Amino acid sequence: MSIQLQFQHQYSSFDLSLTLDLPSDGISVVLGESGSGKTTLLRLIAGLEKPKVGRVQIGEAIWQDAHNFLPAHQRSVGFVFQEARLFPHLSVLQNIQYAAKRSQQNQQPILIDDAIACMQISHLLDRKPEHLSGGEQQRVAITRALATQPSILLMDEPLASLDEALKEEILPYIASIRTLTNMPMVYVTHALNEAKLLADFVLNIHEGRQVRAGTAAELMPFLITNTLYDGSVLNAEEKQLLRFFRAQSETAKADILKTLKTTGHQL
Amino acid sequence: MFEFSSNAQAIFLTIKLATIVTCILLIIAAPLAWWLSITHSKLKPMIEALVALPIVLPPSVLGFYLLLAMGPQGAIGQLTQYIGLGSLTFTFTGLVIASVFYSLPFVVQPIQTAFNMIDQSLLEAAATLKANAWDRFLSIVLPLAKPGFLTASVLGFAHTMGEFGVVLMIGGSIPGSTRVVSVQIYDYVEALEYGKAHELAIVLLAFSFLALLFLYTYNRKIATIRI
Repeated sequence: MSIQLQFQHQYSSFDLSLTLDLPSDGISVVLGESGSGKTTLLRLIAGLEKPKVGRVQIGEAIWQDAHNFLPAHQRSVGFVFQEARLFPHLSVLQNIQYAAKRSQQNQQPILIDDAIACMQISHLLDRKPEHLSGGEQQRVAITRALATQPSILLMDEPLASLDEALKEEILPYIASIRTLTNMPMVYVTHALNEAKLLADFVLNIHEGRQVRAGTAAELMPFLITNTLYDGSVLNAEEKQLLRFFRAQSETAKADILKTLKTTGHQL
Repeated sequence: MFEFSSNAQAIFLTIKLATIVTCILLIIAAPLAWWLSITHSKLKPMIEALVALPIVLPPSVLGFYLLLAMGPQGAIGQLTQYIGLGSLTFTFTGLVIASVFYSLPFVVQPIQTAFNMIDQSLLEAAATLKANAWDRFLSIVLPLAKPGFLTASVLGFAHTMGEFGVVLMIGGSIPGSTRVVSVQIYDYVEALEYGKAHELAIVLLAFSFLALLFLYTYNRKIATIRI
């Protein structure tokens, strides 16, 4: 199975133009600053937006080419949005069943009970979404996306609306999806530490173009070091580090970078 | 005894009219309100203005044109004669049709407001969960718009009960067929039977107040009518 994507799309200040070949398993992290077109990329894959020109092939299935455009509800994607987007009139269990009832056949289905156990939400099933914390809502949203038995899971900064402590809490859950399924996942973020924890493959995009791509082992050290100079991919914590770094003298900077290299480029 | 039974007859007729009209209106208004809430068509302001017209128009004007339309020379009248229903003026069916026009904005607008309040991002989420457009409407839009439908039903029912001018123009005052409560009250007043008028008037007043009280207590956000 391979994932081939090609898009030309009008974007606010620039044209998004991407031709991507993603690995068929593991987590591909799309890194880029706000407004670089990351979210749009996921929406184009899911069919929530229609590009001027596009081609989407997931394994054997062609979702879009020159002649065809499958609407979102006919594409086998799981989508986790920035906000959980749980249906307020349904309980947690009903939200998950909403997806399960409409799910496609899958040769190796994810068992709903396993997904519920993995996300540790079994004690929340009877509650309405309004009675859940932000982190709990996002765990339910992930379970709901998995219940559609997708052939690819798209995650659009699922931690962006959560505070720092909650992010730390949710990340292991996302990493643990890999124990449930070997389906490919595309995870969009601007936070290097999330990429560091999750990525098998990294794509760096800037103003709608791919600037670098490679395995996490190849690319993360470079991105982390590079970030210290141009500040292109930063969360709040990293920005603070960057200010600290910039305030140093040139010799001190060189020393810090050298130390980073020897310690495996930890921020 | 005669007065009591004629009052009861008028009340029964009014409730029957309001019930039928509310049911018809809910069926018409749901798709119309949905279209108005999602369309970017240039026709939208035009349709909205037409729907809202009965709010500002004197009922006698609306009644006058409906009388012409339903009369033997009017478009609706010709159609009903052609299919063998005869003329609808001064009949219960004519009253139902006129009331549907008259109460349309009171049913469309709360439903449209409720539809507008639905977070479109939920519908996107539903699409990624494999729900097609019709499925999304039934499983997400309708349940979330329930307060709007409740308001629409109460307002549509109450407003139809309270109509007078249109009824008089279209239906006249035929006992058991077109003499609704508001017309009955008018007839009593004309005959200077204030006591009897009062018996019926107090019923309408109490009902209308209680209906609105219910809406403004439980359904504040939706219970607005825009002119």
